[in-house]
Amino acid sequence: MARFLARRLLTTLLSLLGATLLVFVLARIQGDPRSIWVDDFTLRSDYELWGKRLGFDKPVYQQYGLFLGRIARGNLGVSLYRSVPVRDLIWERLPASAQLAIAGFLVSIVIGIPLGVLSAVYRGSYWDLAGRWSAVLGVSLPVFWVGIMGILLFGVALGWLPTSGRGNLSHLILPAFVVGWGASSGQLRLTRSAMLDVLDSEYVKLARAKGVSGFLVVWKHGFRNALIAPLTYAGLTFAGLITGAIVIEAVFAWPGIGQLALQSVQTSDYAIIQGVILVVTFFYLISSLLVDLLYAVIDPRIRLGS
Amino acid sequence: MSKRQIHRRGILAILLAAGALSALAIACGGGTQTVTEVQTVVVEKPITRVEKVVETVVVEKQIEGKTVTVVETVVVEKPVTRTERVVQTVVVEKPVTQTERVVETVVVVATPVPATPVPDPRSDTLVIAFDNIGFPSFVPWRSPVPNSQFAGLLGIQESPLEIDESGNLSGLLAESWEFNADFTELTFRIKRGVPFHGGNGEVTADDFVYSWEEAVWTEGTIASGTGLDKQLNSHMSKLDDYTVSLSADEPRPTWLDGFVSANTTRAIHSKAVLDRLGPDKAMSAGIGSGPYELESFRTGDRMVLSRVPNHHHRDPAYGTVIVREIAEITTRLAALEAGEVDVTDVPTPLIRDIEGKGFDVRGLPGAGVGFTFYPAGQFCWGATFNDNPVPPRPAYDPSIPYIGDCNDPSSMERARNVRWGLAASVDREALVETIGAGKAFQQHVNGMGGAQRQAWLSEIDAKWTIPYDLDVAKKYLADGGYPDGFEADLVITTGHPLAVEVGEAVAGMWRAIGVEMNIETLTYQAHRVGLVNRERNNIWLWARSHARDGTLIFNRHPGGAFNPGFELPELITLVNAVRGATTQASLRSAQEAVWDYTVHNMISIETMGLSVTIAINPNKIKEWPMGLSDIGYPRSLDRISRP
Amino acid sequence: MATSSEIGQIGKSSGQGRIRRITLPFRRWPVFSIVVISLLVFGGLFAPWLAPHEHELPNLRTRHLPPSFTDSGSGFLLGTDSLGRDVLSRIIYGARVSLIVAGVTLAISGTAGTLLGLVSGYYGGWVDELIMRIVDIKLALPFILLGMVLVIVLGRSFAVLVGILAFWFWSGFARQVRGEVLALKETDYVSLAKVAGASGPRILARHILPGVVNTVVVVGTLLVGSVILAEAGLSYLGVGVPPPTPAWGSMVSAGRIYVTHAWWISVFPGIAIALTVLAVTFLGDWLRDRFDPRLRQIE
Repeated sequence: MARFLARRLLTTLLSLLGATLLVFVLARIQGDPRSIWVDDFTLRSDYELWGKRLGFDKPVYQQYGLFLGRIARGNLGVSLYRSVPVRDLIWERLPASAQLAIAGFLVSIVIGIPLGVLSAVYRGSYWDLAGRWSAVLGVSLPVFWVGIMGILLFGVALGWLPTSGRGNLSHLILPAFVVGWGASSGQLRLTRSAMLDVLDSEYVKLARAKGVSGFLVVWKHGFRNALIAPLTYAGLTFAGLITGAIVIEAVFAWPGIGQLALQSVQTSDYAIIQGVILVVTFFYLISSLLVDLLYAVIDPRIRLGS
Repeated sequence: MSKRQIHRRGILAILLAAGALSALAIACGGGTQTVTEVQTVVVEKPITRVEKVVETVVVEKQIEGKTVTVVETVVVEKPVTRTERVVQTVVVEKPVTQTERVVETVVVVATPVPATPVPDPRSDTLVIAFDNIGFPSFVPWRSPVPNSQFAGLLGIQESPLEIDESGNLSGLLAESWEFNADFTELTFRIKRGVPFHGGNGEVTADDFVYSWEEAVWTEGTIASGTGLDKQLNSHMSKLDDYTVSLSADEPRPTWLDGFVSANTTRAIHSKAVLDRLGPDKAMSAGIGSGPYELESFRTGDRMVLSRVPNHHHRDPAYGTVIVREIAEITTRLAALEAGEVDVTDVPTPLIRDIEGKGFDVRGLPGAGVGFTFYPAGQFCWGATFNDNPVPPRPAYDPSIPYIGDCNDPSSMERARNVRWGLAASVDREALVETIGAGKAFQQHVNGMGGAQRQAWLSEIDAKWTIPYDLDVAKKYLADGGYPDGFEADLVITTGHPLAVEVGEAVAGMWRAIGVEMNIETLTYQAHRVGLVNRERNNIWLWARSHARDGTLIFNRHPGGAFNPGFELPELITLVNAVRGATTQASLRSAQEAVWDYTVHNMISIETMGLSVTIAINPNKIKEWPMGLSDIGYPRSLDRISRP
Repeated sequence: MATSSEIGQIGKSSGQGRIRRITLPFRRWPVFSIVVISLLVFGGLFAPWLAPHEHELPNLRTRHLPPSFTDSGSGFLLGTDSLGRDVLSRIIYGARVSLIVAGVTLAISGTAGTLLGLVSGYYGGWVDELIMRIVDIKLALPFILLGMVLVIVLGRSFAVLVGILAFWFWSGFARQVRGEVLALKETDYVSLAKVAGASGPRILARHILPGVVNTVVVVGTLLVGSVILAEAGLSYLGVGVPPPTPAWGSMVSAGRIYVTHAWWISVFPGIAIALTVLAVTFLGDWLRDRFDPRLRQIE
């Protein structure tokens, strides 16, 4: 177990290092930030002073080292346009992103898992067909379109929900539904196939042979065992949802980090882009590490083998 | 009641009269005890949300010589929110005599007048939506694009001067001001007893001097727009506690224009606050002396402003103003319609729709956008402005049709003809009528505003009107050596919601003379970096702000580190002459010389201009005489009056 | 609900049996998918002959004309867009664009992903470790952001877009193929080939590759919809197929401002996207069930 843990930690660390390198290179190919700052009357002396402050007078590997050192201390730099610390900006936005991701995730579970179980149990029936159609419909339209239509219908025409922004629970409903509906398709497919496997397994057959009622078989034996796959999948989709919601955040004026990143890309403020990419990557790698550790605890084959 | 509603009421009356007449006819002809009548009634009511329309129907009729008035309240059962016809039958019953009953069947056609959402009348809060509110960054010398722009526009921080709707300067923090004889020295006398927010003392000469010297002279500042001040060695000094003097090495007759609110580097900051909090904290505190105080700032979400009691200048109508960030234009308009937002921008083609929904639409005085195509790459200047860090000019390539060889006059003439060919093949009228929805104006000369421009500019505009003529355009192209057209790259810089439409439309027009455009879209900022590095030689579309009074030539110096993609020694000389002009007359003739040169050489291909328009909930705002500014955001919140 | 006598036959009550009889042929052949995809391919191939009007050249004078079924005077079946172009013609040409984008993207990402998956699964060891770490980083990175940055740096063009999408989707192939290879590696015929002295590349090409082709086809089909939607998402963010090329995603995105003013600009291409994604997804499901029941596990 200790060896597995050490190895897994090491690979996570290496992946993180890879991400920092990528982000560093990305910023370099985006160009010199001074090109953003110069205007008609910029003085050469100022230009050179900026270069010195940015460390451009040092060799590249040294710049990368300094960059790593900064990140290790939790310093993500400042916005190129407004000089606001990137860490503060991301920190301020993370709760909104997390809230939307959690809510969207819950919606996807609420839609995906029951429909997945139903469509497995009644495989080939209309239940199956309807469940699959409704879930696939969720991913068959561009999300920005679903979002805008939702706003116009529920926000303007019916007036049931607020159109945009973050406030009380009613603000969360529309964006969470759009996020969750899209993600529910994956949940449904996973639940369905896991459920099919379980229903096919010897112990369910045994349970049935022993005369356990159909309801119990499905919900107690089948469902519980079939849940593992979609839930672990969930762990990974969850991290993905944080940035996957960029478009949805833009449409609903949801003040999350996706929206922050989008605006930064549009203005070429790559100090912020760097920060967002690093933070999101960090979260993903950590959550995938946790999922793996959880697996290892559950499944002795992983703990001992390979 | 609006004029249109009154008009509708008229229709209602006519319909009622017609209905009564028909009822009469039926009543007389029938002669039965129970009279059934079908009548059309227009039920009209301004509604906001899903609600029932209730209308009182009055029917007069004669039965056996008696006039009977039947009054019945009709509830339109179907909830309606838009102009919509609801047909329903209502039975109106009234005993006429002791022995008979009149039964009326009325068909109610409900056409509710769509009205703007009625806000809570007690609400003391105004909500405005912007596409982007930026980050809390209210100290200009700390960052190149500080939010001081909003600080000035929204009335958080103040400048020495302000400007009214028609462009007249008046004192804000300055009581009076005067130039010396040769425009190299400017003196401000400061208003006494103006407090900074939060009990941070009063505005004094020290704050003036501190704000200027820090903004311009902080070592290595990345604040934009201060380079010229540095180059002309501009310093401010204190004469006494309420008098300061500003000096420069060269005359600066147009200097005052820079001291109005909303200019990023001219707001007056409290020296005491900055000393106490340090620039980092002061940056987000946003302390100023304006009529609104910054209460909170959540990036990506909202700024909350609250009214400063007993302000020295004006007493704002709303106690709280919330400025929300909604990036998506469709969502901004939806929020407006739903009544969540009271003010937001509206794209020109949708003005009529929004007006039809009961909102007031108006232009921001002085703020306009011109859709300008710059053929980049004509880099003919052997030097750099002010020893600027401009690398060699990799994009200079005279083999491109619209770029001439700087050392060969005939080649320059050839390229000039090509550019004229492009300009003459743009159907500006079609653009104005369609994409501009008839609300835009044709544009022929660079940087000229529309409605707000001064009268003499219209003469220049008329002088350089470029007619749409494909034959002439083809002849220009032939003279330029490309009778069959050519292929080129077009970069549409994004940011304005109509930029791609205009770019595609003009590219389509150019196909008519054989010029094929490969279109690429790019954010303005990313393209700008390429221009700074002189790496662009495509034609590019910039949906660019007009100057507030139309007198701007190029808001970028054609020799600056950033310019739209051309450096021509003659033009630089002409622009410098504008800068040095000291009288109104010499200024005009210098400006005219620049326009003559730029249009003759077709430095930029102008197409269409439009005002920046905003939609307003008329239930919240009656008058709003905003100050003149070229910044395309609502401003002068303190001048709003409530209905 | 099923009883114990119906082990393994859940859902086979007599009422449902009738439904099954009706739907059986449809389940056997995904009619809906075949119809939609045939239309798509047909439209894409014969766009120049099918399109009733010009699809790229703007004509401002016909801007925002409503569909002829709501306004008989317009003369355009599905109306015109903001530049006066026929929406129907653009949808027909858009089918071609969607097919090319999806086809090229999946050809590149499928090839690259398959190769990496083969190598990773067969050789194992540090090669496997390296490739899987790259897959990890790729999955961890917020790809939409990277894509936008790359478009801004490299310029918005068809090639860049396809490159980004290919880079987006290769990892799905790699993981799946690797899993297959790990299983196939242990089979007798591969062991026999090894004993016979066949080289690694030869075994991979001759014995293992044929075994993973089905998987690749199924994964590829299931990803077509994702590619089309990814393109639409990128269009919304301003980095999709550059104008004036008619791509469905760009059409929906460009028409969204006018949704209350001229709904047809965005609604019809939206329907085209939805139908196509539904069709390819169901086709993928069908292929998966048919070719390789084990693949039920994958997503």
